Amino acid sequence: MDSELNRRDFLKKAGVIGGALSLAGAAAAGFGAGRSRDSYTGWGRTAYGGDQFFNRKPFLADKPTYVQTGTPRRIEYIEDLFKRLGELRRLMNATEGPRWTFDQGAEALPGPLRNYYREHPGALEQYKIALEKGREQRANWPEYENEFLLAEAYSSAHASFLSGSFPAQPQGPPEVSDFRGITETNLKLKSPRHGSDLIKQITHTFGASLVGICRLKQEWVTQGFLRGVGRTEFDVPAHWKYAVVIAVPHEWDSMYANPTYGNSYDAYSMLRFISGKLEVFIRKIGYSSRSHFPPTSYEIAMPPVAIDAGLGEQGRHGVLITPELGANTRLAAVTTDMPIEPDKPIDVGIKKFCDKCKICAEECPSGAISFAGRPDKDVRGYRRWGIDQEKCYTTWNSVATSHSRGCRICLAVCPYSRKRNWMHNIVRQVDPRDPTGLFASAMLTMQKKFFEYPGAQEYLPPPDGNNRTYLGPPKWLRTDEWFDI
Amino acid sequence: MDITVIFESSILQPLFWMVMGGLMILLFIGAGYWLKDAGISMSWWKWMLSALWYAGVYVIIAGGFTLIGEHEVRAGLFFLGVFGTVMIILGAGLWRILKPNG
Ligand code: SF4
Ligand code: SF4
Repeated sequence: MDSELNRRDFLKKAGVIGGALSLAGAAAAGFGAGRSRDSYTGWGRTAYGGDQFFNRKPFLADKPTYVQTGTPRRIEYIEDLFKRLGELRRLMNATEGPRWTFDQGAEALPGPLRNYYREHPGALEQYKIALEKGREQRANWPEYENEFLLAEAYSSAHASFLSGSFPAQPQGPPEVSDFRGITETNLKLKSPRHGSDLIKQITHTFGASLVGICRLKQEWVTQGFLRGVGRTEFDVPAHWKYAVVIAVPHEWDSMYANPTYGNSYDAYSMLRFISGKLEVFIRKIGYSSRSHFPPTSYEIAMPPVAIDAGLGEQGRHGVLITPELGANTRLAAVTTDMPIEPDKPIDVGIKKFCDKCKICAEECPSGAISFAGRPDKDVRGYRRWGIDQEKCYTTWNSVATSHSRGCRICLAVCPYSRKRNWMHNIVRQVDPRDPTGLFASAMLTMQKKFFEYPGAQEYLPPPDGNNRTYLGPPKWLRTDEWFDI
Repeated sequence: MDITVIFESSILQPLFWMVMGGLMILLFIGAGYWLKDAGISMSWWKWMLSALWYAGVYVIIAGGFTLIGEHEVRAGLFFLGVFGTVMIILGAGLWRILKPNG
């Protein structure tokens, strides 16, 4: 009886403690989900690597594990394989004076090289074998070329930065420049679907967060200037059939701290590399390609092309909003004649939400974004919300940055620019499936009543404002965290 | 220790949820005894309503702290305040159902 009572009492107490702890656990789990930087959408599953980094602290050692056996000295450049072989190649192919040949041996080489090969007998002979093998390798390549077409294209794409300016800017008309370096191959794609799946897979490995494909509409191609040609009125080249559209976010914490801590160039540089590599990859598998990337290397208008490619919808602020990245979506594209299957556009209710939301317009320091209830401007045959570009640019020139390097507050405050944690994922999934629109209205009410927005003028420097940012700056970007100021 | 370590760890995160599962079991066993001692007879649907209420409280606490974790402190506190109040009212209603003559 006693033990029954004790057990009962114990379980009652344990139940209370268990309940309290589980609620504390809910708080901890929620906080963790909210705070974790790995719930930002980036490249792959996590943007910041979760627990991929090994904790070295318990293993810190006073001495490194390499062993010293003599008096250390610095590395001579000639000890570097590629520098050494470069020197030898120059001597073997000299355009002035006598050329060195293997028959002459190490003694005929100049100072440092001679010394190196004296100290490493057999190394010259080995290099001779390597050169012969290299010649054989090149002669045998046609035998393997088809089997390893993709691997070779993938490697070439990654290696393309080695050749001067990257990506190589078009030179001459697109009918020439977009085909430069193309591989002649007789391989046929199994189907357009295979083509688009391959391109998407490859583009993700280059670092793209989102990839979509569309047939390129003529009206999205710019007029009056063509890279590689200059000022010209041109017809849309026939080989600009499809656009592979690539999206990446800005680094999230600095993006939330716009305008002063954010920048556009982090995403721009990523996009330049991704689209540049994709351009090379596509040519290396036998098709024409041209990369279009920010800030100005474009011949196409990006947001509508991205809409056609199914990435998202255009927001009130004129920027593309995607379900995954919200307005923190920056775009590049590669146009190609590779036969690939286009995606379809999506309607997840973003445009409808913008009708009521207006947060970006309320927070925009320049008043550049329209407050109209519905899209109110006809631009080149399409209706959208008006953006006053001049007013926007004036804010770029007004905020506390070294030069006009952007503002991006409208990206930061947009309710769609949220993390990929359980809470926002529920909203992402439920909102577009609710035909009544009640869920969206409830979310918008909460957004406006619960969340703190500094107010449009607050982002400006004194005396107009207080240099506020939407969220506080990340610790790693605060000068006062690292320097005495 | 930064609590996010648990939720970014491929070892600690599953352990955390296992412990949470254990705590829930304890909670419901303990609750069974409490209710019995209070003279409340439970049926399956009363258990279900109670579990739903508890799940609601759980999600609201997690939601509020998710927002706080995201540096949206004001939004998190409003979330906890508004929906927490709703859950307290619902809890009082639930108690009337569980113990009609209380
Ligand atoms: S970048 Fe700044 S000024 Fe320009 S529209 Fe967005 S919020 Fe307004
Ligand atoms: S802030 Fe609101 S109105 Fe502006 S783009 Fe985002 S959802 Fe649309």
